[in-house]
Amino acid sequence: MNCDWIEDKLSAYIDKEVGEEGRLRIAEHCERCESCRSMVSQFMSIGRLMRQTESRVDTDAVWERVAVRLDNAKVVPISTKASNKNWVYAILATAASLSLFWFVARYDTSTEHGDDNDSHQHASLAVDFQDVFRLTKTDPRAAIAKLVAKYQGQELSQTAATDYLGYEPALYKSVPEGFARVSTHVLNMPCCKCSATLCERSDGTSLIVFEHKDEQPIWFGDSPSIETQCSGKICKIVESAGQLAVSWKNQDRQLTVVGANDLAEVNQWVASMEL
Amino acid sequence: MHQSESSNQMDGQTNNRSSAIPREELETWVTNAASGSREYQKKIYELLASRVYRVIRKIVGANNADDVMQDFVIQLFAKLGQFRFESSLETWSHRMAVNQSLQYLRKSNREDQRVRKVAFPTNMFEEPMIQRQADDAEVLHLAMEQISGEQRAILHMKEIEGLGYEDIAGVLGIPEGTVGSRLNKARKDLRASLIHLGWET
Repeated sequence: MNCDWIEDKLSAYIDKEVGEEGRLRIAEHCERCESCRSMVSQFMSIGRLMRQTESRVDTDAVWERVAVRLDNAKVVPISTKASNKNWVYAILATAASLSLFWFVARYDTSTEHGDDNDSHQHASLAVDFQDVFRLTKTDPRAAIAKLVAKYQGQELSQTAATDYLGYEPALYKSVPEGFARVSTHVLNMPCCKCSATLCERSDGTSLIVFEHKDEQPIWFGDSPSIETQCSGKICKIVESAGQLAVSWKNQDRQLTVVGANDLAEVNQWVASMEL
Repeated sequence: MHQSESSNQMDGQTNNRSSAIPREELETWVTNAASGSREYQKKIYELLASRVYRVIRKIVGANNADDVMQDFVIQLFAKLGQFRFESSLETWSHRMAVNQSLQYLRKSNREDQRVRKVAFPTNMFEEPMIQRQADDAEVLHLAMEQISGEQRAILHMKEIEGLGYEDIAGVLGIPEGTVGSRLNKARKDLRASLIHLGWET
């Protein structure tokens, strides 16, 4: 008996995934065909065996372990928007850390007379990293306002900002193509004075460029980060809220861009911020 | 996800489906869980965990299920913000779990080990079977080891989850028309392995 036409349909038959006409044809065939009838019977027995032997599961224990990992691992959104940053996200997504603190700046408390081992203290500036990122994406002015409120900041003109900081921010020399400076605020951080410049893309979206003159690099806390080369400089990249922050050193300056869309934009900024 | 008549609801899961939750409430769960709320992450976890764990266990084996499940949950919450309610939450998460499990198998070369077992079945199976009579669960476990992860996944979704072909196609990302033939092949291969191990219907 030729069973070729029916064998491939036996699963659909027992799973009730064939129409009435097909079901009748297969049923008639199976009545006459011992081989196909046996196969149907065995397929159904396999199903019963699987169900009978399926053991219960205890997922509570797994949750406890997952909760610990969630506590210690920052879960970051993995974007599929731009291929050139997927690898960054993939790495960051697995990086273990959870810190909502952005800058932890170390400032020198040594007196003019002493420089002993106790002369350095750590001061957590406790800026919510997630909030700043998120706000940069949705409301960059609010992100700056938040920083201004926390660090006695103020908006200054280009000249006044240069006077206040004691140096001309690199950003004033050149801005990458496609961006325009909107405003500059100065922040009175514990470590140092810092500029925060809002820059707007041609499509109206923004990012914020931070610059400070200090040996102490900007630290992203324990947030997931990778170090890589961007336009010839070692950069630390952090992802959050679907955007990237990049921090790098240029001579005696520490520069940070928050709100870059992708690695191409990161490279564009690092390359353009020459002193 | 609809259940076929042959489905066997495990562990009283009948009412534990996202479809039983009003859409607005489920959206709240998803939004808050995606934003990192532990309370809502736990709700989502409890909704999905039992079924997802089973399919993961079926694919990667009991010894590896916990690790893969943990990785799955971490990835689930990382990607939850991308869920657009275009399919059920179960289908969406099952797809992720199946893909992650299969990826795990590939990485750990467990498929290669299975090939070796198939190539040298005497050492692996016949001798122990002569020494003692394995129970049905052991025989099934050994037979399951002989088929591919994809085949274990599709059999599990049909026989344990009781999913219809449309839902299985959605989870696996394959045309619905190919589900029957894939199931057929999986059943035939599993049947051959079971018979090889001395299984009698």
